[in-house]
Amino acid sequence: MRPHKSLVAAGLAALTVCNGCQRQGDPLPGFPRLILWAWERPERLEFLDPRTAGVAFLARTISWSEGRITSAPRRQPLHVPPGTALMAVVRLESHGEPLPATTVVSRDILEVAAIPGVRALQVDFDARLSEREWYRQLLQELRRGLQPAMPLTMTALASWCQSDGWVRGLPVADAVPMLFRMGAGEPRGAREFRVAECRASFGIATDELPEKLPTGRRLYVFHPRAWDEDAYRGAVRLAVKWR
Amino acid sequence: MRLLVLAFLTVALAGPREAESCGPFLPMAQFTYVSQPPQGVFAHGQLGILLPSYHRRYLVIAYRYLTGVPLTREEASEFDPQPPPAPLQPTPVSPTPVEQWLAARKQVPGVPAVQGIAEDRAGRPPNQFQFYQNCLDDAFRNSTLTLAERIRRWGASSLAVAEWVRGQDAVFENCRDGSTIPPALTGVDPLLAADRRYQIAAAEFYSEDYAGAERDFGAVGADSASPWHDLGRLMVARTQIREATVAKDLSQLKDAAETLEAILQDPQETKWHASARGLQDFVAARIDPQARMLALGEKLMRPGDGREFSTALFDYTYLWDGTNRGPADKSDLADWITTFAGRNWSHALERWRAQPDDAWLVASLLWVPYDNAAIPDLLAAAHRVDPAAPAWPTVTFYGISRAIARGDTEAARSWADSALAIQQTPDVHNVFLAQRLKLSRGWDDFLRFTPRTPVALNYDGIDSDSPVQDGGQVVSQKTAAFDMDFTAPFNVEVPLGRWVDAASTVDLPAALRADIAQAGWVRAVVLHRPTEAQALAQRLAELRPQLRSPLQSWLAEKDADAARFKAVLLMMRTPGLQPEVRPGFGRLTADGQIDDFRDNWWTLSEPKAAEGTPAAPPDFLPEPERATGRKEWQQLLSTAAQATDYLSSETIAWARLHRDDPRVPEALHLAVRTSRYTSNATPTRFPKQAFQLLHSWYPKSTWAAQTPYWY
Repeated sequence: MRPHKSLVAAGLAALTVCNGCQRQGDPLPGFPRLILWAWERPERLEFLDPRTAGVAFLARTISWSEGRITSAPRRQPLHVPPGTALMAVVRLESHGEPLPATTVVSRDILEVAAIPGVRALQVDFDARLSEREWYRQLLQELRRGLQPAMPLTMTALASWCQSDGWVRGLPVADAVPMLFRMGAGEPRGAREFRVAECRASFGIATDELPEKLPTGRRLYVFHPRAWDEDAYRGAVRLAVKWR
Repeated sequence: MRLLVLAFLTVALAGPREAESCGPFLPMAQFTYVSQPPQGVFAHGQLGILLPSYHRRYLVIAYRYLTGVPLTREEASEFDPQPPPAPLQPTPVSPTPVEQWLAARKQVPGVPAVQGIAEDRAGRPPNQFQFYQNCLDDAFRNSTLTLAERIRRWGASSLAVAEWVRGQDAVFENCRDGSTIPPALTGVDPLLAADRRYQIAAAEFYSEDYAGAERDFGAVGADSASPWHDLGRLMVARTQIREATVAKDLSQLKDAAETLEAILQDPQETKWHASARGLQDFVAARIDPQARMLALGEKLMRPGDGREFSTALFDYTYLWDGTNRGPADKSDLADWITTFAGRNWSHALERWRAQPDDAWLVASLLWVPYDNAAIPDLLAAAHRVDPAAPAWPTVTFYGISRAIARGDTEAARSWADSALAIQQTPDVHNVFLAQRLKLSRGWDDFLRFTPRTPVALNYDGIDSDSPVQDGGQVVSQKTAAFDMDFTAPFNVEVPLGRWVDAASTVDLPAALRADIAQAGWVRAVVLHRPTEAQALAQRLAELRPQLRSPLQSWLAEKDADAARFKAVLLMMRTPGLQPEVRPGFGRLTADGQIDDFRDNWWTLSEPKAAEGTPAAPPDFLPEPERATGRKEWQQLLSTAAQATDYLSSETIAWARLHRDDPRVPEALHLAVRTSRYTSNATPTRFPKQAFQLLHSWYPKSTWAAQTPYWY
């Protein structure tokens, strides 16, 4: 018996939806489900259990203004126990055009990927609409310049993951929706984002916790001060809660 | 009760603390300062009201004044220039020292091109994640100057200059990583050979071969024929310091201390004594921060040079911040700062008993419990402080707070009245107004002591104490505002009849009367109180000319139901209309415009008690009137907690009875719009009903075309 056309169509539609919703394999194999963001401040994280949490540390900040690039490496200490999964984060700050050559910026970013012990790279850039093509090109250059096994990730405004979707197709293993310090027009509250690249993780802050989150994601946690054991335990509880 | 003062600080000083902000990082009014007073006055002796939350640099300066050691004019001006410096203007980008060096070396033909130089080098494992600035700006400046001198001597195209540049390139290759040491030169110009020996030592320094650098800089210092001879020993000290800091082994700093002391004892090296002293301070601060803070504290208490004061103040607070502990057991200054910021009331009192100066009086008045036997003595001492003294605002404020806490209401009221009679800065005046409001003897007092002057702003709690001007033109124009000590009881406990009175009182500035008239009119309409509504509409029409025309039209409507619909329509056309008065800057968008952050119309809720809010509001009205006010508030909540529901349901009710009214399609459209743009609105059935009526009854209207969705 031949299936009715409408049944076929419905089946295809369901398949499409399911494929769209399906979570891909872990984009960061070897990283725990909890990652602490360690920002530009002295961080002593020796108390951390490497099986429970990894660390994404701000390794460099690259900014540009009036055509001049400033590339500032991390100047604050970071101490982690042996075996900690480490991700180097590079923050980009644009103070307007002209945008620098992507080759110059990517060269500095790739340097931090070579820091001994670093197993993944993350770029943090709140790109304006006019800067997106530039950013896309930069990410493509980075992907080409990295070892194939080194995951490249990015942070993402929630709106990128929901309404405009420009993140689709970028050469990143994971785009982390930042659900804190959100600006006007950002979709509030945790949700299943439309863009597949945004479905593996969430970024939250300990002082601005969402009431609930979809489970099963990797959790990046920002702490507005240097991490201590209490804050770490709180982050672990969050990760368990939304496991 | 011991925390009454803190309650005051929270409620009266910190400005409005609304439970929900109206948008991301919007400016919030402050009526006094939280951690840093404004530029231009404090360092010159106008201390205002000192708070334990002030940054330590201000507490150091306060201690100087409170102990009778005012800052010299030079010290005050260095810390706090008068007039304040103009805002920074965009300046042409000037080349960095690295860029200057790269440009200079291009004069030399034949040397390889260098695109850029990274100045930072990664730490050694396990500190490989932390970089440090290895090559400092002075290194590039000196290279540029030396190259110019060598070009003058040998010529840009000479082999000697090319060789010199190659050597210097090798030095700077070590800035980022690696170990590149230029070869020693023999059989060349003695100056070039001497330069090379210095370059070798410098390359060793930057490549972290500190033993080699110390040895070779020492040799340079010992070579009287070298042009770098007099710099050798200082570079040895710098090498020792660098090794200690990069290796994070501070014990090695003792070698540096000895080397620097030797330089300072050597009259032959006078040229480097200032540098050596600076490095000596650096070393001392790291070997024994507490001892260095002690020395800096003594220096800070001696009137002197402005630049030295500012430098010492920076170092002192830097070290305190880094160690989180000051030498309180050895220094009066550190003891006072620690006590003032740290609640140790018994110590404060002990010190005041032993040394009854204004500094310890301030600390004692702040922290000693109100029921302690020493309080009468402290209050008496506070009364004796001269109004011209820097301590006067602070001791008066804390003194009144203590008197209130003790129940000495009459004395506190009289004291507050006296304080308000003395001209003070707006922040101090605001604080005394808050105290006096709390001591209100009735309705007139309540209104009279209400208006406050915003003196600073923060952005949802961030960047406290920012100048009001930073908030833009709309904020800057709000020179009078309510604080929560007025708005909280006024919204909840004041009956409408009093709103009419408040909207006319001369004790309030016109802008605040307009706020009351506006909120009162909406409230009166909702509560079906035509008499008050008409009185408030007339006041509002006078005070807000932009609303005059629609309000006069409303006033002319004689039919009660028609007037009601007309009022609802006006409210929906005017997103700034709300039934509450608001603290701080209030709404920041014109009444008739939609606010970008959904601060439109209203969503009411029971006010949440802010931390530290006094349990009892001021005695501003007799209890029966307050009960009436509370009843009206509850009626408002039950009738119109959400503007969306209230306005939509009123519109639908009118529409069902007056389908032919040409205003109905617009009203239905506006009803849907309120649900789209009202902050914290919870979707209900009414916007959808309005949407359905609009599209079923008026499908071809322009209003239906403008309403593609309901929310």
